[in-house]
Amino acid sequence: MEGQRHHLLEILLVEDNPGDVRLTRVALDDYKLANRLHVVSDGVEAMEFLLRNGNHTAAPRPDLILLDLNLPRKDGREVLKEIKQHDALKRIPVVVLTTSKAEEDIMRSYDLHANCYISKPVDLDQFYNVVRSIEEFWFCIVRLPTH
Amino acid sequence: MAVARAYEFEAQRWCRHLGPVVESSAAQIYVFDALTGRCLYATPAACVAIDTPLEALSELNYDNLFSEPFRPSQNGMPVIMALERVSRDGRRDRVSVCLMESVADESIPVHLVWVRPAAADQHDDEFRQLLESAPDAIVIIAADGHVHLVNRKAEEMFGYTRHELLGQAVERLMPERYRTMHVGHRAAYTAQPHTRPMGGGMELYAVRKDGGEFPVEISLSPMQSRHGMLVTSVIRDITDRKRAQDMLTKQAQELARSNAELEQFAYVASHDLQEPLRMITSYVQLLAKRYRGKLDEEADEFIHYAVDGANRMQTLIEDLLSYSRVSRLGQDMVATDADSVLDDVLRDLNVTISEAQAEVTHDALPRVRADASQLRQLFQNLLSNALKFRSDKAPAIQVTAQRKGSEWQFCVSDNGIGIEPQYHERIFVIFQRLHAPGRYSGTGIGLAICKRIVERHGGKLWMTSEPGVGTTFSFTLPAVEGE
Repeated sequence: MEGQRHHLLEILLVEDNPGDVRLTRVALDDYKLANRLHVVSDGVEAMEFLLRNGNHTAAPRPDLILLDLNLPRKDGREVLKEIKQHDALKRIPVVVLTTSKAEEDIMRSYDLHANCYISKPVDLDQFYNVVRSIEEFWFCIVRLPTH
Repeated sequence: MAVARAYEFEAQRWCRHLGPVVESSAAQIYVFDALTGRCLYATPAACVAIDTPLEALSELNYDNLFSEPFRPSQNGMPVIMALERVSRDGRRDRVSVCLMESVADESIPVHLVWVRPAAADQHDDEFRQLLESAPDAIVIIAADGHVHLVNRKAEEMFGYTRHELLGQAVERLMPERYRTMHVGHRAAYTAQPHTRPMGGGMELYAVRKDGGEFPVEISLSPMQSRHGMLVTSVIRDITDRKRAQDMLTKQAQELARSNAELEQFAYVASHDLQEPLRMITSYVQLLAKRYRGKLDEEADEFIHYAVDGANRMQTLIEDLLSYSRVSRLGQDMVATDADSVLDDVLRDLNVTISEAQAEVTHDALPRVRADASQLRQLFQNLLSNALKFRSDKAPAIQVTAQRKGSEWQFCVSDNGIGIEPQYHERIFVIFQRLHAPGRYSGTGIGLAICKRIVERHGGKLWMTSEPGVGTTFSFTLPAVEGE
């Protein structure tokens, strides 16, 4: 399992719950590949980061976006829609990572071209597994477009 | 003024000439002193009618002779009313009278009472009695829209005496906002009169003398009389009925609203509760992971209980969500083959069935009108229960179906541990369990969901059981129309 890229992996986490941010960080700490986790806590800031506006003019283009659906200011569904309609952003894989197991949220996300949909597991070990599989799948198995 | 006085003079002059005519006619006329009520004069026919000789007339008094007090109209017009006349021997006759105020020669105010001949009034009289005894308010209106006659019930209902109403426009009895419109409606009705309810299904309101409005139901019928065309309106105060109806409608709405709210609450609560719960579980587990062995044994035990509690709460929340899903995300009822649904369920439960060495037999099940995925859940829950609550014997489970009118009655019977009669109601309540946790798994949601599913299909779910012998759950589902 040889990584395709040698630069630092940039991951954008769009998540308003600090508890989840911390958990994701803890899980990523055990990560094999060097990565940098950027965190924004609402949809508006997520778009600023991606479009390099506001406080994020120097933001790197992320290799992967982890997106929660229920966010303040701008909803995760809107963020997803905007990313997938934007020529420069639409190729970035978006993993919808959310508490909701609602059928309608899942359908809606795929309709908006989410690359995958994952319900946050309650169990810590399972959460670790999910984060690990995300990294393994997206950075080691899948061939991603080069920027 | 001068004209009026001239008329009065002429009238008195002619009266003197007419005197002999009046005397010799069959007219029954009494004249009373307006102040004392003493009888001043009566025509011979009037005296005969009450067996009173002319000489005894002065002993007569209005109040002794008639059952109702003299009530002149406001505008000087004669008043026609029905009352009783008492003869000297105590005989009481129902008569129709015409009452009038007048002034006699010496400027004495007098009351004239003309008793109309019984023969001519016979019909009127019966009609009036009928009118008076009617349970509904009746207002008879002349073609020009003026009140011709009202009954006692109408007086009570509207708070007017009949003298206040007679000759008035009928629009006085309805709220101001309808009056103009009504004049048009009335003209249209008079042009094409027929018996019908008024308002064409609209809500009608009437107004009392004190201004109070009340809802009414009115039926109209035309009749020809010697006064021309009259319209009889029968008016019923429907305040009570309307109140009861409104209350029922309100209660039904309230119930629907509170049900919807409850479902919404269950959904939102369980959905939003998951988030903080996940935090609790995850961080307690993180604690355990990082500090196991670094803390003492007791700490590990505490962590175990915290995680266990959080896990159980997670299960409850998920169950609550699936309970709220029954009506929130229910599909349409379509013709569904219960037999193949049951086969699917048996396939899913295959492992459990063989592990329990259970024997499941079933009739060929019919097609029913159902939401297939909910029917599946229903069978799944009932069969799982039958397998779960088994006795020492190998489980024997039977599923049968029987046609009952427009429904099918299904029965799922087992030979399990059974349920004590006092718990028969309780088991259908959400999160009610009859056994200590650990003895049997589950939160106690299964039967509550079953009940909700069956009720959503318009059916009934119930059970019969004998402890130690077994339990039968029965439910009904609508048959497919035409099958």
